[in-house]
Parts: sequence; C-alpha cells; structure tokens
Amino acid sequence: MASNLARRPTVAVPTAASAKRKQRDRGPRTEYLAFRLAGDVYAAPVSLIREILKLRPLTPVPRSASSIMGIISVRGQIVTVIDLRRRLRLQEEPVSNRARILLVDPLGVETLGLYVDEVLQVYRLADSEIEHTASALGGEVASYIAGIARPAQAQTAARRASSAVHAASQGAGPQALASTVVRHDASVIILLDLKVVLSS
Amino acid sequence: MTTESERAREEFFSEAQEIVEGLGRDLLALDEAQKSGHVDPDLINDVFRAVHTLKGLAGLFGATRMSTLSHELEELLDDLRMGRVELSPPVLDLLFRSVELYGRILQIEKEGREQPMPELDQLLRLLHRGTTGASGTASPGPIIDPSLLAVLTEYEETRLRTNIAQGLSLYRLRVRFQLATIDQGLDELKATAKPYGEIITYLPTGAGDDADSIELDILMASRASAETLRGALAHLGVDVEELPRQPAVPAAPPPPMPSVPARPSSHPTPAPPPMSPLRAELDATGAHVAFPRGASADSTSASIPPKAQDLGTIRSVAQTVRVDIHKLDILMNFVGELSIVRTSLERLLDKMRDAHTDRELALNLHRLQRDFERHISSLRRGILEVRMVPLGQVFDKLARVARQLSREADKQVNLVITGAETEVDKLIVEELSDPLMHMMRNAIDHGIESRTRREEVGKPAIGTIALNAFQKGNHVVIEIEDDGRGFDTERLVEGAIRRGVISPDEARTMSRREILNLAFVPGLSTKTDVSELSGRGVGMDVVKTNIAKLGGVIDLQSESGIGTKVTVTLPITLAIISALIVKVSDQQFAIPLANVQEAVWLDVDAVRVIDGRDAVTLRGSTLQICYLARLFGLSEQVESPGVGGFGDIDSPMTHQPQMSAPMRAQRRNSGAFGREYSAAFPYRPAHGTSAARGGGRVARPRRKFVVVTAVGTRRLGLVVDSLVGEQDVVTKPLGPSLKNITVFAGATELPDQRIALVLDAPALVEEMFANADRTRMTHGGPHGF
Amino acid sequence: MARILVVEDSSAVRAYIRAALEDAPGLFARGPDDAPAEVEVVEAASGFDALRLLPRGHYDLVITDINMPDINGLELIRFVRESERHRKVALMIVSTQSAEKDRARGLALGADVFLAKPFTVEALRSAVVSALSGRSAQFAAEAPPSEGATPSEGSR
Repeated sequence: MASNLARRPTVAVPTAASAKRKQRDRGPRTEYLAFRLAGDVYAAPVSLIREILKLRPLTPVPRSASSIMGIISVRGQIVTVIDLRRRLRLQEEPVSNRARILLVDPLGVETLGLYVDEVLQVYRLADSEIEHTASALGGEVASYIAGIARPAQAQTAARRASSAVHAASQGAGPQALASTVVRHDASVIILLDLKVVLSS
Repeated sequence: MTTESERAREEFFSEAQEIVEGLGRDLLALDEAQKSGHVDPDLINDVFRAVHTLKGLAGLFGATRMSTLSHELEELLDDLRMGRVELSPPVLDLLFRSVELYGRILQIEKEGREQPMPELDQLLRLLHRGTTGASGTASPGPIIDPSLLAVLTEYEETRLRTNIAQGLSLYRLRVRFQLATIDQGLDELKATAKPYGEIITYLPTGAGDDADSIELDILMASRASAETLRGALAHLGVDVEELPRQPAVPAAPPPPMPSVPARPSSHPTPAPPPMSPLRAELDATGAHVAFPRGASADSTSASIPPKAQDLGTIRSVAQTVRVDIHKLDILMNFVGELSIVRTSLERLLDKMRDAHTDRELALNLHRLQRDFERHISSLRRGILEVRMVPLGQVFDKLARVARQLSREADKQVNLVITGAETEVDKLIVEELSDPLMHMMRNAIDHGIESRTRREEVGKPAIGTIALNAFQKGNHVVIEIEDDGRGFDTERLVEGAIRRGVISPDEARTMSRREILNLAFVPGLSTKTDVSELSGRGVGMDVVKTNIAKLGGVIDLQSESGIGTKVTVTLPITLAIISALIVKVSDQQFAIPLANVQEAVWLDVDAVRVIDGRDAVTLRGSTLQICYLARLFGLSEQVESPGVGGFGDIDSPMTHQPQMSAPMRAQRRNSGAFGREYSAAFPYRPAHGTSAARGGGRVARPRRKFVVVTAVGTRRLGLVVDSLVGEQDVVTKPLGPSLKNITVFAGATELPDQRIALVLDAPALVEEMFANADRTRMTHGGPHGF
Repeated sequence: MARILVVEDSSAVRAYIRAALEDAPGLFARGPDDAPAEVEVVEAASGFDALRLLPRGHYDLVITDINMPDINGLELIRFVRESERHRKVALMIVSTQSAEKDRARGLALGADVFLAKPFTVEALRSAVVSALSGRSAQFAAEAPPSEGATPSEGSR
C-alpha cells in the first residue's frame, strides 16, 4: 500500500491566470512554487513538492543537527522537518502564522519537511526567464542555487492573498495556489536545487 | 506509474520471491535425494516449472537478467528431466548458485539499481556449457485418442507419453466435488494418490451442469494395479477405471471446427451432456456411477510426503493469504490509537472517582473500560500473530549457505536444525538473515576444523552445527552451536591489549565472559589465516549491532577445543510495546517497559560522584544515573510548588516504586494506577531547600524521579522530571536523516498530536557505560555529551 | 461495461493484466457511438476458481492461461464452449509462442484469440479489443526470440 505521502498533486494550468497572460511562446515552461525565506523569494519545482502543511506541533530531537527543527506526524508517519533558513544560513525571523512546511522527497529516499516563512505562489517559468547561475552572479555561487529567475511579467490574478493562506491551510497542493494572488510581484526569484540542499 | 501497475510490480516481486524460496527448498530436497540415490522426477519437474514461471514473469515485467538466467536454467532443467543430463553434485552446485543469484537479482531489481553482475555472466557461461543443447522431441509413441489430446497441453502430453513409454498404466479417476470445498478435496485426493503415481491432468466431464458441484475425470499414470488404486481411493468416493493403452479405434471422431462443437459419443443420446473425451475412449457401457461427494469433513488428514517432513521445512498446503506487511502496520496503528483512547478513558475514570461522581456509574464505566482493554489486547495479539512467520524461512537459507560454505572450505559439516517452526515477527526475520549468516560463516570458517585436524584430536570427521530456536516467554532464543575448536581466547586478549582496548592488568582479572565479549569489539575478530571468505569481514561487532537494533542481545559461550555456542535472544515482536511516558523539561519521552526495572524517587542530595560518574546507592548497590535533561540539552525543570511533591499537575498518577516491571504489568491490567508511594523507600524527601550541588544557576527541585533501566546486567537510572503514565505505543521509525542518533529507537504519537521520542535503552546504557569506561582508559575520550 | 474474467495462476501476471486493462478505460469502445466503455476485471486463480465464478455473473470475455496446474486452460475453454450459458463468451488464450500445439488446440476448441507470452501491454490491449469485437486473431510475442510482432488474422 503506497504511503499517503506519495500522493502527487496533478499540476493543472489555471485558465484564469493563463487567460490574463500573454501567450507568447517562450519555450517549455516549468512550474515553480515560490516561498519567502528571510525576506527573499526562493522557489523550487512544483513537481518536487508533495504537500504544503500548516504548522503543527513540532517535537525537537535532541542531538540532531542544528538545521533539523524537529519531527512532526503526518497521517501517522514521522517526518523530519528541516529549517531551510539555517540550512542556507539565512536570518531567522520569528515564527509567524504564515509559516508553512513543504513536504518534499527529491532524493527518493525520505520525505522531509521544509520550513519556510511564507508560501507565495506558483510561477510558470520559461527557460528563457531563468539565468543559470554561473553567468548571472559570477564568481562563487552556492551549489544549491539552480538559477535566478526574473519573471517576464506580473503574474497576478485577481484574488485575495488570504485565499492563498486558506488553500494552504487546507493542506492543498501547490496547484491550488496557482490561481491566487501574490503579495507583490517578485522581481527576482532564487531557484533552489533541493537535491543539493538536502544532501549535505 | 499508475497505482495499478505499481501494484502489479509489487505482486511480481512478491511472487518471484516466493517462487525462489520454494526453489531453494526444492533444491535442498534434491540434494538429499541425490545423496540417497533416489531422485523423484516430480521434484525435478517442480523445479523446472518454477524456473519456467520465473522466466515468464521476468519477461512480462522486463527483468532481463532474470529472464536470461531463467532461460539458461530452463534448458539445463529440461535436459535433467528428460534424462539427458544426470543430477550430479556439480550440477546441483550450479542450481544452488542460480538460486542465490535469483535472490540477488531480485534485490537489485527491487532497488532499481543498475549494477553489473559479473557473477551472473560467469554462471551463465557455465550453464551454457553444461547443456547439451539437444532438444529432444518425444518419439511418436502410442496413439492417443485425439479428443483427449485436444485438451492436453504440450507439457501434459509429454508427461503422458513419457509415462506410457516407461510402461505405466493409465487410469481414469472419476470423482465429483462441491465447488465450494474443491480445494481441500483436491488436496486430499492428490496427497492420497501421489505415492501411487503421477496425475497428468484434470478434465471436467460436464456431466450435470451444476453450479455447485463439478465432476472430474482425473488422468493418472501408475505402476500399481487397478485394485490397489481402488482400495486406496475408495474412501474418497473415487471411481477408478483403467484405460486401455492403445484403443484399436478412436471411439469418436475428433471434434469438428469450433463453431458448433459436436459431442463425440459412442452412446448416442438425444440431448447429451458434453462427454468427457476419456469416456469416449472406453467401450464399457456400464454407467460409471460417480458417488456424489459432499464436503469432506476430514480434509485435515492429508498426508504430507515424508521427504518434506524429514527436512523439517514448511510446505503449506493450507489456505494462506499473502499479506502486505504495510497493511498490518496500518492495522497496528489503529490498535495503537485504540490503546491511547483506552488510556485516556482510564484517566477520565480516575478523575471521576476523585470528583466523587455517582459511584455506580463509575463502577460500570470502569468495568466497560476493562472489557475494552481486554478486547484491545486480543486484537493486538491477533494482528501480531498475523505478522509472525516461522524461522524456518531463514533457516532454509542458512542450510543452503552452510552447504555452499562447507563445500568451498572443503569441510564436512552436518547441520542439525530444530525449532524451525518457532515464529517471529516478519520484520525481525528479514533482519536476522544477515547476522545469522555471519555466524554460520564464522562457525564453518573458524569454528569447525579441517577433517585431518579433527581426526588428529579425536573428533568425528564430520563436524556438527546445531541450529536451534525456541520460545522463552516474550522472547525467542536462537542458538548456533558448533563442535569446533572454540574461540581462541588468548589471541583475543592479545589483540585487545595490542589495540589498547584493555590493559594487561585488566586482562588478568577479566572473567571468561568478559574476555569472550571482547569478540564484539570492532576489528578484533581473530583471523588465524586469511581465507577468501574471512576477508569479507565477518565482524561480530556488526552482528551485535544488528541484533541490538532488533532489541535483542547476543551471548557467546566457548570452550577451547570443544566448541562455540552463540545465543541470540530477541523480543517476539517489534510492533507495539508497553512504554513508560516521562516528562523531561516539558517534553515527553517514552521508555520501553521491557527495559524498566522500577521507578524511584531520588533525593538530589543523595547523588554522589563515584568513579567519575553520577551515582546513587540503591538498596545497597551503586546505581549510575544520568540526567536526561542534561543529556538532551534541555533546560532543567523547576519543581512546581504546592503540588505535594508529585511534580506534574496533569496526571495525578505515579508508580509504586518498589514494584518491578513484570509485576506492574500485571497490575496495570486491573485498571487503576496506584497513588501511594511506598514509605519503604529508604530516602525520604528532604524538607526545606536543598543545597544546590556545585552552584547551579537554576533552583533545582529537591526530588526527582529516576527510572531504573536495565539492559543485561547493567543498570542505569534515568533522571526525569515527572512520570506521565504507562501506555501502549506503536514505535514509528525515524527517517534516515535521524537514524544516526542511536539513543532514540523511534517516535510515537501521543493523544494530543504531539510526539514522544522513544528511548533506545540499550543504546543509552551502552553509551553511558562506554563513556565511563573510556574515561578509565588511556584513550581519554571526552567525558559527557 | 466490459466484464473480463482473467484466469491465471500467477498473481503477478493477473495484476499485470489488470493494470494494463484498467489503466486504459478509453480503449474499449462499444456500440455505434463509440462511447468508451468501462472495464471490470475479475480474477480467478485457477480453473476451479473460474468454474466457481462463471455461473455467478455475466462475462464478456474470458482470458485464460493455458498452462495451469489442475484444470488447464484448454479444458476450461472446452467446458465454456460446451456450456449452454457461456457459449457466446469471447475467449482469449495465453501461452508461450513456442507452444504450437497449445495454440492449435486452443483455437480448435473454440478460442477466439491467441496471445503469446511474453506480451506487451499494447499487444494485450489489441488482443482484448479483437476478442471483444468478435474478430479472431493471433498475436505473436513481442520478444526478440520469436518470429515477429505482427498480429495476423486467423480464420474462424
């Protein structure tokens, strides 16, 4: 019996949003879920994100690495939660009720929870909108950064921000957020390579 | 992959695994048969069919390596069953190696790894060379009625012709079964008939198109006479008729082309029920009365062929269901949830009692709660039983390994197995095969001496290894005993001194048991000669770790020149355990009751430092203690005032400190927790403020709970802030990201969605004692955490 | 709704067939409007199981392996063809390509379609579609050792 966590959200393109976007062919697009960490916007491919959870009782595990926040229970399974801010050595803001836990399993080995300060929205990014890091930042770039995205246009839809929170709080998959609004247009999104982030 | 194709793939692995296991058992039987000189052709056929099935499965599910191996094996086996190749020891070797390879291939396929397997290529080459490549087609032989032939598969036809060629007689056994019970009926019939010959096929006669029963004509080849067969089968309601070998004229024309099948019949009847082709072959006009066969009440008397019984392996003729162990885990979760509900109910009841509610109501509810508890226990036991599998599974594998190893080491070894039917949790069985294999290797490699050496010292030339399993209370004991040369204790001690594990002084005063335990220190195994096998690193430390992971312990006994005995003691199941829930600095932890000896009050003033460790004196002996709050880096709790010293407002319960765990377990089932604490406890709570030891910054409570855990002969007192209560918990594993933290065995969910980490008492005890040991030695490792 | 009875002693193969058929519901069109039909797969682990199940329901197609212990597929086919009730059920037999006699006998006894092992999901689906639409056919194995992969039309 496959674990419940293996449920993959089917990612559908919301017609409302696409109707508002100009359909210019920019090549194949990949969907990324954007979230906030220490004030900046990061994102990871939607296909890697299995679920978004609202915060729930977290039990710290003595002697675990400092970037491990603790463990939570997800439908009977014990999941380790990692503090992405610590992993990436970012500033830690106090926990707010907008914080979420993203369930991912990029290595196919273990489902992990990633703590983020806030979940924003889904961006459909064409390859042309992404600068692959070597050229973008020049010099030393952390291997966990897959690229920098500058979304071509405002990707907004006419719905309230609160519905993003609402959808996420229902444990919805990222596709439910695709048709909801973002707080502000992200001009720069740092794309993370989760495999690298989590394998260190 | 869709869920259905995922499921199909899982079925493939499951079924392939089963077939490979069956193959292993069959090969062992073949090995025995070959030694005794009497090989049952059916057995070879079974092996052939197993490989054939594996080939089919592999082809369907794209397991190319398996497919290739099966293809080659099938040819060899075909040669074997057709008599073109003889079943000699080298051939058996090839077969055994193939089975091992199947196992490994399956493992690799399951994990999805792409790994080159040179040993497979090598084996394939050997197999290819061995087969003659001649595919003999059966000589035409006697004429068989075409209408009979029309419903025989090629395989069945071959069997038929082979039997006829060998001069056996053919019989038709007619019997009617109720469809509902046909499986048992058939099994019984097969078992009864088997000693007399081979059953070729089953043909429904179609007589009386009844939805509830079916009449069968069973075609059987046998050397026995018709009378003998009749006598043997009469009690099953079987009608036996011998078939003339060469019917002069086929009694009926072959059935015409499909659209309207005609009835081949020598008895023209207006609206005939479809006739069995066998009947058509007979001239007899008499009605062959088939005795209607009711549901057989004595289906349990199916006799098992002696061969299988000799080996003590388990062949299940019974009805079984293959259950995915994850489903059982889920069921266990439910039982765990129920336990939690029960515990909460119990607390409510206690509260009610305190609040002096309606006495009768309270009593009734209490009774209900006890019933509830009983039912949960039964349910839990039931599910646990489903998870249990006989150790025979792993013993069969060990037998194969033993055979292989003894051939490779050129030593003759007799393996005696008892207790293969002892059952253990399926997960434990899976984890056991590696450690047990290591021990088997050790026994054969280092234990049993060479034949010449044995003869020199007056031992029988053939060494004996006894593999023994039995249940002992809540545990299962597995013993591997050999009559070899025993552990070379001198070398052990030498090696230990050389590596600085012990000092020469300690070596002198060590007990024999302690010396033997040195074998478990990593890297210390004695290798007198570097053979190819021992080069693989059969460290006993690895074995010990693996056994400890299962919650078990391992013990070594050895006598120089006489032999060695390794004893492994395991808990019967991993799933649900009884645990003591404690609070340390506002966080809850679970300590398995199996390791808890008692819980006592501790007066902080009574703590001394003995030998560099914190300890107290408990009933005359020293008990090392460990402050969990410090160990886990949690803040130490300030004792809440005004609670009467019980330390925790939530749960007005505590334990009778003098009671030992087993006794308490019994009392637990009677429902209520005791509220008194024994005044017999030697330490009375100090009054007034306690003198802070060493000037801590936090005002320490005067009294703490100490949970005395025992692992083997070692005891460790865990200092906690309060006891919450006892509970049945389902230990859920921590993910790989946390597996390296040895002191936690897992985690369990508490009623309020919170999680309590489950302590691994053996690991904790090990660590605390190792730390202490290390400070005593010259290594100078860090003391503390 | 197409109700298919799969008679096969290997549970893995049954699961494979089920996955292949249930995962392609749009494949089986029925009727003039070609509306996709639903497929219901019922499993029988042996010939006897099949005999138990057949009287209890209506099946559009019976897929049976030939090589099974006890009652083999051929006997099952004959039984089905000679029974009043199930005479019209489409029958598909499955066996290894090299088992010539099995194939010949099966078709002679009244099977509609022969499918050789090992078969791909596509071959299975084609075979089922053939059988359900009343055409008879023979489908060869896709694996390299066999002759070819082109389904040929047999004659009834």
